[in-house]
Amino acid sequence: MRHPPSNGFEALYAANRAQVLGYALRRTGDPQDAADVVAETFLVAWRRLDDVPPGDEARLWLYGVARRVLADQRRGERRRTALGARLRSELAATWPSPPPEDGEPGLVAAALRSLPEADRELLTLVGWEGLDHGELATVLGCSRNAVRVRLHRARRRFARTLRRHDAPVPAAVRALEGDPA
Amino acid sequence: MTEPSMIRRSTPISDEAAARLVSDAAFEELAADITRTARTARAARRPRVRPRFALALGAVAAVVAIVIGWTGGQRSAEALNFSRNGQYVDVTLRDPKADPARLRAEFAEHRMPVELEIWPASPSLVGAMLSWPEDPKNVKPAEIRWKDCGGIGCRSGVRIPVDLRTPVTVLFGRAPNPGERIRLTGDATAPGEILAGVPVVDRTVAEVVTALRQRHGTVEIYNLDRPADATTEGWDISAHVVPANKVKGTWRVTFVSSGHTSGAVGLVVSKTDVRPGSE
Repeated sequence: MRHPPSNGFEALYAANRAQVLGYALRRTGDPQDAADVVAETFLVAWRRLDDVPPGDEARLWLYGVARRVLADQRRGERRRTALGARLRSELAATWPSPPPEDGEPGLVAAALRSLPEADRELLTLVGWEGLDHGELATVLGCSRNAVRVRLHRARRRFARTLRRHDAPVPAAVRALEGDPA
Repeated sequence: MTEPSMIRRSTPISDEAAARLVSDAAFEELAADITRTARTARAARRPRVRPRFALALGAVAAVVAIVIGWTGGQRSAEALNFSRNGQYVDVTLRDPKADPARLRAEFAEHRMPVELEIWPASPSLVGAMLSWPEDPKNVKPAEIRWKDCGGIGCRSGVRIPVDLRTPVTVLFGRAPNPGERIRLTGDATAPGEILAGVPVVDRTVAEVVTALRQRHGTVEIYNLDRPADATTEGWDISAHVVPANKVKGTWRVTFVSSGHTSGAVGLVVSKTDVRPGSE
């Protein structure tokens, strides 16, 4: 049994603020944009508190919101929010300069960047957030089967892109390259 | 090596490292900004909700085990109201003073696997539906109308699928019997409560206690709110009780809950003094 979710914003925020900030920073690389994503995501959560599922699904729900906020941001449809000025200024001051991308991580990062956004999002939700098929389906708002198919195709394209970047291709992914699916 | 592990190794920053970039105070400021803004926006369409004080739910419930089932059609019971809404039945408590046995009898006619808990509640929570099963696909709050419970989230009813097979439990508040201890305490400023409509947030303890005494109320307990500079993630208000003789009249009130007896309240306070002219 759960209690009404409107009692739980404080707990929701405390339990997920680091994850949402991490999600945003991993994708924007811009502390100001990341701060906006965090603020907008939790603003949506507060306004739609009754829609936030309980337990660990709340994190997935927040990722789904953050994903849409980021998409709007990329399309230039999101204005700077006035919320969380201190968060923004602290992030701007503490965000480290991106390290030079060399070696395998650099090649992987370059390969990810050159993928279509949908593929990149799917693969990074698995690799960076550690989500499984069911969790991906929740975040992306689609069925598990759809996730399976999309992930299969994304992995295949990722393998091809890795080759183009001269990065080592994992055997499991290499096997997909010739797969016509 | 697998492809997820390859991608994991390319992670620009971990959650833990991200969290270390920002102070707790900055996070708290954002939360305060959000709730302040959203509270204003929500007030026009639904009761104000303040996510500050958890309901004081006791450990032992008078569980009324009910096996009911929807028999079809619109139906009005005396103490409960059953209303068919598509593939759901909306259930509301029409008579919060009704004997649980009577409610059980009314439910029993409908043969659905529902357990109903009915606990003595403070006035604003009487008749309110306060808790429902975790699985949102099974049972959900009825969108019939909002019941104004102040800063406590509540609904006026529950929406149950007509083909429900898995047993579920829902919790309603009822009026306490004379002398009975209240188990569901709410927002002391909500309609029907002793400080209904009285602004208390960010007032001094002295101001709130004066308003309370004018209404012949008493302070049951003082709890310390999470300090702005707290370094721990969680803050259990109930674990931070302040003796009344240690509380200063200039301290800031952040929430007032109704108490476990009629006229009693609990004050959640911050050691921060309220400055003249501040909100």
